[in-house]
Parts: sequence; C-alpha cells; structure tokens
Amino acid sequence: MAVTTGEREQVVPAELGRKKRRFRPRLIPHVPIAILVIVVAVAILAPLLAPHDPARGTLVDSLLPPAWDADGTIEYPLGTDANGRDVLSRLIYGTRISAIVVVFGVILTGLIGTAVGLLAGYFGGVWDAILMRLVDTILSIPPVLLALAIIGALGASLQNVLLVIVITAWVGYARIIRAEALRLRNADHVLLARVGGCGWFRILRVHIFPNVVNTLVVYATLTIATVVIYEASLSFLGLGVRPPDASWGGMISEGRGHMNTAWWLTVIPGIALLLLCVSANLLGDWLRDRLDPRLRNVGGS
Amino acid sequence: MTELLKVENLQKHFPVSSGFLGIGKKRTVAAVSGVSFVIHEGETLGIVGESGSGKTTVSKVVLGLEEPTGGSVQWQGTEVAGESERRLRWFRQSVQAVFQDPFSALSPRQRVGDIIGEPLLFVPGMKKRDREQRVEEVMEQVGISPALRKRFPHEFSGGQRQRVAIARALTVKPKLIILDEPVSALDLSIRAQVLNLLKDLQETLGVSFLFIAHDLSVVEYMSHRVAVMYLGKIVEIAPADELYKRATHPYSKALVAAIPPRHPAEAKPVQPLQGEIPSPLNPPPGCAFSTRCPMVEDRCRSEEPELREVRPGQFSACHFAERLL
Amino acid sequence: MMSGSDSDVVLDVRDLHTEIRTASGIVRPVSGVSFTLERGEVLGIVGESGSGKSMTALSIMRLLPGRHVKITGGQIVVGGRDLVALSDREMREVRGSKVAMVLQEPLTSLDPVYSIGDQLAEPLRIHRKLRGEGLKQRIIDGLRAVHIPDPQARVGNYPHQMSGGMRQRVVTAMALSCQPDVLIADEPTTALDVTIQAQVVRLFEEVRDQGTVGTLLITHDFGIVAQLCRRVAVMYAGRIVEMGPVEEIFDAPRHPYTRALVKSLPVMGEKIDRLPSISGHPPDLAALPPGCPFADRCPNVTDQCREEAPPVEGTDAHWYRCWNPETTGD
Repeated sequence: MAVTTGEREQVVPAELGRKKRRFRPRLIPHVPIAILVIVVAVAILAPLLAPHDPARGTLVDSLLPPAWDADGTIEYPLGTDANGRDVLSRLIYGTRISAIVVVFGVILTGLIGTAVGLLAGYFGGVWDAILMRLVDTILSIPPVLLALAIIGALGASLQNVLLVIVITAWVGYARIIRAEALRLRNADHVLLARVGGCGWFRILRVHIFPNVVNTLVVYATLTIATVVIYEASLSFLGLGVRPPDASWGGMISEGRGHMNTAWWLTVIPGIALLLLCVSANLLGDWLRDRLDPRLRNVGGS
Repeated sequence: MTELLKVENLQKHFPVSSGFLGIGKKRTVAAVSGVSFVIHEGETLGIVGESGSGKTTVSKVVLGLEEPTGGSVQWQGTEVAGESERRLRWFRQSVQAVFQDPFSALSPRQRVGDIIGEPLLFVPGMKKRDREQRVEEVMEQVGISPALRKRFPHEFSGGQRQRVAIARALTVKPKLIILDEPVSALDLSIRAQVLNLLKDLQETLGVSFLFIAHDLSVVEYMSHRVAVMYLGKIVEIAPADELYKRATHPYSKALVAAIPPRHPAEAKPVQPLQGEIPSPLNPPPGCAFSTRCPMVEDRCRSEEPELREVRPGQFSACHFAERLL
Repeated sequence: MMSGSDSDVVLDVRDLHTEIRTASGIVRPVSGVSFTLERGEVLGIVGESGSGKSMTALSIMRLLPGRHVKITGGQIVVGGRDLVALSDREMREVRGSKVAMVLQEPLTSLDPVYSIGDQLAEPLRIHRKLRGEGLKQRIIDGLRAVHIPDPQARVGNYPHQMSGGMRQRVVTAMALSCQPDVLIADEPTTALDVTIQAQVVRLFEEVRDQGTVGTLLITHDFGIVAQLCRRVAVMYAGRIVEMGPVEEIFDAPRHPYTRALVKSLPVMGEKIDRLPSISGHPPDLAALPPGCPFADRCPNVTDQCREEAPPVEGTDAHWYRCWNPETTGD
C-alpha cells in the first residue's frame, strides 16, 4: 500500500488473538458451580433419590444417629428425627423448596425489577420519582416485620413466603438497573439510536438491555443466598413451610429442641444451607470480577 | 444555494440546582444564548469553540436530542424545534450524526451490519433485501469490506469504527450530517484518511456537514464557513480562509494565534490569552469576552455587542471589529 | 552526540526493552529504545497510541502497571545510577526528587480529598525534609513560579475548585518542587482547551529556558514539538524509527513514516484539496511482522523490508531505521 491522496482502501480488521484455552479445573468457580448443579439435580430428582417418605416416619426409629455412629444403621444414612423420619430424605426434598424459592425469588423478581428499573431510568421524570420512592419505602421496612404482617394476615404457607420474597426482592434489581439505564440513556450509541429513528421500546430492548445483562447476572447470583436464607429464616420462625413438609429452615427449627442429644438434626441441614449459600456467593463474586467491575461494592449478604 | 437548516436566536438553558427536595429557587445556566446560522445544500459549516462554548449543545438541539428553551430550528422552512420524537421521524431521514468517540458510538452487542442498517428499519416500505443491499453499498462507500458485516465493533480499530459510524449516518441518504469532533479521538495517521473520506462523500453525494471541532486547522480544512463560539454565543462567522487571514473578533484572533506553529522556524514565544473562559453560571455583563480581551474598553463591560456584518460575508460581535480589519 | 560535555546529560536510556505478558503472547511495547536527554533541553517523543511512547515514560519512572509488565533489558542512567538496577525503596527516593512526571489528565493526577497545598507539601516533606514556615514558603514560591494568581489564597483550594489549566499548573509545580534533573511530561496539553494549551506551552518554555531540568515531552502534536523541542524522536510500534534535530525532522525527514505524518496534518491558511494520508492502521503489537513494522503501510516498501529489520542509518545527530529512506533533497 502507499501514501495515498484521497484514495480509498479496503481495511481488514486485525485478527483477534483468541485462542482456545484448555479446561483447567480450578477451585473457584468450578467447585461452587458443581455444588449448585448438584442442588438443582437433587431438587429435580428428589423422588428418585430419597430412600424414604420425607413426611412419614416410624416412632420406633426415632432419633437414630447417622450411619457412621455406632448406634446408627445404614437404612437411615443421616439418622432420623424425633418422629422417626429419615433426615436424608427430608434434606433431599428440602432442596426442592430452596430451588422453588430461588426460581421465584431470583428470576421472577429479576424480571419485575429489571422492567421497572429500565423504564424508570430511561424515562426519568415523574414516574421515576414515584417508582423510586416506592422502592425506598419497601427498603425501609424490616423484611421480617413485613413477613410477619403478610403471613399474619394470609397464613403461613410456601405461597405466602414467595409473595413476601417477591415483594421485597425486586427493589434491589430495580435500583441497580435504574442506575445503569440512567447512565446508558445519555451514552453516545443510545443518542445515535434516537437520531437513527429508534423508538423507546427498541432502544430499551436493543441498545440498553444487552448492556445491563452482565450486571443482572452478577446481581442475581449474589441474591440466591439472600433469598434461600430468607426462606429458611421464615420457616425457622414457623412463618413458612408447614410441617410435615420438609424445608431446611424448618428442619433446623425442629431439631433445635434436641441439640444436646441429636446434633445431626440441626447440623446437617445447617451444613447444606451453608454450602449452598457460600457456593452462590463465591460464584457471584467470581462473576462480578469477571463481568462487572462496577458492582464491586454490592456484597452478597 | 438552497437553505437547508436555519437556526434563529437559539437558546438552551439547563437547570443546575433545584434546592433541597426540589424546593427553593431553580437556577439555570445558559449553555446556548441566542445563536443563529444557516446551512446551505452541499455546504460545510464549521463550529469552533473551547469546552463550555456551547457548540455540542447546539448540535444536540439541532438533532432533536435536546429541547430548545427558545428560538427556532427550521428544516427547509418547517419548524422542528420542540417536536415530539414520533413526529420527527421524517426529519430523522434527513439529518444524521457522527460523534467523537468511535468506541462509545456503536452498540457493543450489535453486529456492524445491523448497526449500519438500523436507521433503514424505519423507512416505510423498505424490504429486508433492499436494506441489506444498501448496507453493502455504504460499507463500500466508506471503505470497509461488506464481508465484515457480521463482525462486532470490538473487532475493529478506532479508525475503522469511525468509518462504520459514518456508514450508519449515510444509510438513509441524509441531506445534513452533524460531525461532532469526528477525528479528535483518532490516531494521527488515521485522521487524514477520515477527513479525506468525508470530503469525498460530500463531493459525490452533495451532503452538507455541520462540522464541530476545537481544532481550528482541521475545521478550516473541512469547512466553507466557520462560526466561532464563546460562552454560548457566536462571536464571529466568516468564510474559512478569511477567518485565518483577517479575523475580526479578538477571540478568533487569539484562537488563530494559539495554534501551534507548523514548523520550528515559525516558533516564536507564545503570547497566550490570559485567564480562562468564565463560568456560564456567572457570565460577565456586556461582552462575554471582555474579561480576557486584550483590547477591552469600558463600553465592552456594559454593552453587549451584536453580531453584525463587518465585511461581505463576515460577521463579528465586537464593538471594535473595524480596528482589526 | 550533540554539543555539550557528558555532564550535561541528565538521562541516558540505552537499549530499553519492556515486555507485557498477555493471554495471547508476549507484547513488546518498548523494544530497543535509546536516547539521551540534556539539561535545559526539551526532547520530543512523538508517536500514535500504541507506539510505546507512554510505556517508555512509565518504564523510566519504573511505574509499570502490574507484575505482567516488566523491563527486560537495557539501562536507564540518571545521575550516574542505573534506575533499572535500583530496589523499589531506592527508586522511591529517585521519583519526585531526581525524575518527576506530569500526566495528561490534570484532574486524576491530583487527589480530590487533599488541598493543593497539602499535595505540594508531600514531596518536599519526603525528599527535602522541609517543615513549617520554610515548607510553606517553598509551596507558595512553587505556585507563583507556575503563575497561579494569588498563591497564598490558592494553597487551601481543592482540585475541584480549579479549572483544568490551573490544575495542570499545580501538577507541574508539584513535579518541579524538588528541583528534579529530569521532567517527563506525558501529553501535558492534550486534555486542555486551545487557549489554555497555549498557556501551558508557555509554562514549559519558561521551564526550558531556566535551564535546570531536562524535559522529555511525550506528545502526538507536531505543532507543540515545533514550538518547544530542539530534538525529536519518532516512535512506531515500540521503536524509535527516526531521531534528529527538529528542523531536519520537519524539512528533511528520512523515514517514510515521519514524512507521511508531517505531511498529513492540515495547516491553517494553506488551501489543499486533499490531505496526503497514510493507508492502513498501526500494527498489532502482539503479531508484528519479522521485518520493518511500517512495511505494510510504506510507499517505499521492498521485499527486504518485510523480511529483515532495518539497520540504524545516518549520523549520531540524525539517525533512522529504514532500508529505503527518503532522499534529502525532498
């Protein structure tokens, strides 16, 4: 090629130095991912995996220790509770509750919060002010108080726990996505989309939403632990899943009375809860570092 | 020459603080106060000014991205200022824009072909095949192989992205393209390529440009006429070469003098303009430039000079413009 | 060498190499850069983004961003000591006191939570062990030297209370406060408005004419080079491709890249229809060709250029790396 005067040349982009990287197992994110995959698989396959009916037990077999204890039997690998129900089976069915909570608490609330955040951030003005005051109001009510009020009025059930979670959790998404939309609203590519003739819906769908997906994924992952613990706390307080249905929080609550004699009733679901939440948070932290450095100050609780 | 765009006494004020909880006095800052100019068919009007001069705000108002506080923007005789986005759709086919930063101007997750073709989605009755054909056509025009239309913006260098941005602006065959600092973010060896491309396009397509930049030598190279802005006002409009040879406003003169020499032999001790552009929150009374002007007199501090024709085709907003002739 | 005895040389960079380890291989933003800087002169280093000019500056300051960026060869001699061989602790002594730096963005160069007086005091306290009244006097003198109006009152100001041009003056005052031998200015005028730019250029002229410091001016603006520099180095793809007296670089450039760059700039008052432009774009440093990095864009290219790296040609005062240089009778 030459030093040209006004001549047009074809330009070819530099090839990206993208090479296939070999899969190397690493502690993070691979262990947390594996744990989350196992939880989901267990939740789906619960009826096939559980050795006993989680809701029914024989009183003869009550308070048996886990199999590795001298008094334990292989029939109940993780022991039994005061009603003679198999702890392992209850733990397996309990993952279903956690999974349902995650689906509603993370995905449904994510959809609501994102929609509200995008609209409020992009349009601003009166609607933004109203929606954000609503968000502030919800954020200022202690969540357990709100749960007590709603469940006190509607009764304790899984549905009502989900209702409480949806009411409280969407606001986090709305706040974060609104901030992003506010920033992107004046980005050059969005202004040029308006100059190009795009309407508001296309701008939100094509020019803003794809640019908040990273933020959304990271925040959603960090929320998993929050909602799982929220459900467990409510069930622990007797405001959530009713016995004999199994939920990890409920199991811990029921085992509390036997702490001195039957440690496995509280410790085993406690470990399950801990593993799930720590995995979700580690994965969230990792995703945040990889995808969205802007979220550094949003912690998983 | 037919008049395409006519801007008259344009005003744009921004609110700065609305007090605690929106209670209290609303203060505004005038980013643009009383700007008038016309752009003819096939012409390039340059606007130069430093940051805070209001040059970018003028372009945003003309593009319909900001509503003017006052004044009028007429497109071929029809008022477009303050019209709703929906009603401006026809106008969108006539005026397009290229911005400074080729990295933020392209949606990062859209393919280059989709970016370029997007404005065509709103052309009534246009079929997909016609759209694709038009995209290939403009890609050829700006010197990017149409084979690359499935690539994403991050696979291109800065100069190539700016070509993509130019291609997108061209797809709807606009009559006017607003170029806001189109080369200042580009590498030195790329700038001349892009400037030449723009000139070629103007020659072959007859499109008009509103060319906004802070670099007077680039503006002079590109423009037929140049408007110099200072603190929200046009202080001088003149044919490009006249401005360089015989500026009739002390600020334009200072701008020309501030251009670094083109050769070491011309290097002389710089006599920089003292002080800085005043805050638009507290504009000085009288002439906005009076706080820095080397030839200031009492009259300048009290009486605001009007833009008036000093020589044929050359307008200056200085009480003493004749002294500079 | 140019005129002057060896004692006038305040900075001597010899065959400097800096490498970045990346996922797609090793990138060499600085490969074999050599130059000397004398007291009282301004040496311009001109190049585009990715040419390695800023990385050269950061290498001299030993302020490379992260452990994956390393100086892998060469020497940087300041005051008889090789900076490459110094420990981090020794280097901290040198930074600010012997070698100081002014960056492009005056806003981020200053810490927003400290007053400019506090920020100016820091290097003086550390390197010159000044305290109390003497310290205060030096700060005010420093601000006065860079033409900050009313320095006594300005000492208590915070960066956000000052304009861009004012901040760049403060940053320059900080850099000069310990009377360094070497001042590295990385694009000091790029972020500034035209009229403010002229003020900062004027300031650098004054610094030059005081004759106590050697300034390394890193820029992409040939106009500022013409105004300030006696000698210029042109960088491309991590190498100095041409270096010489400023008049010769403008009037009789020998490297085709230098020539094309100088010619491609629009000039006020000169009516031309089209600018001579350089085709193509700067090369990817991760995938440099074996021969001359400019070969793909060069009008004088031959097969030899693509295969073999060009040798250094010319004189000590004006040299270039090119197989087929431009003739001098341009």
